[in-house]
Amino acid sequence: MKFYLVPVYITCLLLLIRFYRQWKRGLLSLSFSILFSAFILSASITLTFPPILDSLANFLGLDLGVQLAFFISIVTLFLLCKSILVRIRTNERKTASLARSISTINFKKEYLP
Amino acid sequence: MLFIIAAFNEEASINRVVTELTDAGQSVLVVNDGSTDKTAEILAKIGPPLYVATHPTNLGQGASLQTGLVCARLLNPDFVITFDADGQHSLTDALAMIAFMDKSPSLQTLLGSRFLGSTINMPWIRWLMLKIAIFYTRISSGLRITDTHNGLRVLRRSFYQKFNFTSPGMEHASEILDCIGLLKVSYAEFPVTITYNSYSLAKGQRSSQALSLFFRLIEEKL
Repeated sequence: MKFYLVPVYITCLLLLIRFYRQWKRGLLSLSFSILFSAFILSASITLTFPPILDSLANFLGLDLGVQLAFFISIVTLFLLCKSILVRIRTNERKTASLARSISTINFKKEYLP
Repeated sequence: MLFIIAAFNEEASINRVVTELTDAGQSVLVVNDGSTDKTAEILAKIGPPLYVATHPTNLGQGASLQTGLVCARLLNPDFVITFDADGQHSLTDALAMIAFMDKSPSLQTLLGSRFLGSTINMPWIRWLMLKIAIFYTRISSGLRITDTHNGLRVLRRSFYQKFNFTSPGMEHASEILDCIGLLKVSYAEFPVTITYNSYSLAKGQRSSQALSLFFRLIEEKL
């Protein structure tokens, strides 16, 4: 047992609980709560058994496990940013649509009684 | 026919642009895009036959044209002409375009092109930006056109009644062309003259915004 990893495990556990709670409260989508949880679990497993990362990296044709971790981080960040961007754009379009509806209703009232 | 003008804080030019059109007997619809200056007051003073639709807040030029098209569908004119509020476009060009559309009944939309026509005082950086935009739009829409971000367009009723786009900002120009390509709408280009002055350059698309517009176009495709 690597005792120096205990705080990391506690942090991972707290994060998993947080993701679960956020999903239950509707603050996080199911797909992203699963994705984040899988990421946290993978990170904790890799920390416990570091050779896994290097074996996986070799399997994917990468030289170092660090490169794999870097690659996964970039992909995760991209997906996260894209998801947030889609939500922002959707809300932007809904707001604009609402504002345009108001102006069209006013236009009808004024010119097409 | 109905001229649609999107106006955001255009107190310096809107009176001149609109009265030139109304004095020539044209119907004009101005979409006041949440202007915070005296644009609304100036439009109220001009009065009929001017139509005004007002956005409660600034939504962007694309959103203004969408509102303009929705209102145009209610008024149902034969042609809709999109026209800039900063005085870059010429009424003579617009009337020539309508005459061309009258002679070509199969044509559903006519796009103004400054590169077939002429420009006055166009900065080289604007020329470069437009050329890049043309290259991008040719790839994305598949249309062989010479000018992508020209706001002077004539749309026939059969086209504007069924036509929708969603981009709220300046990227609407590319989306309109994408729609023309997707819907296989019959189109042509017409030479027009664009006059740049210090006011229109300050009001129009800034060079520094080109990059964000490019990223937004890429983002829409992702």
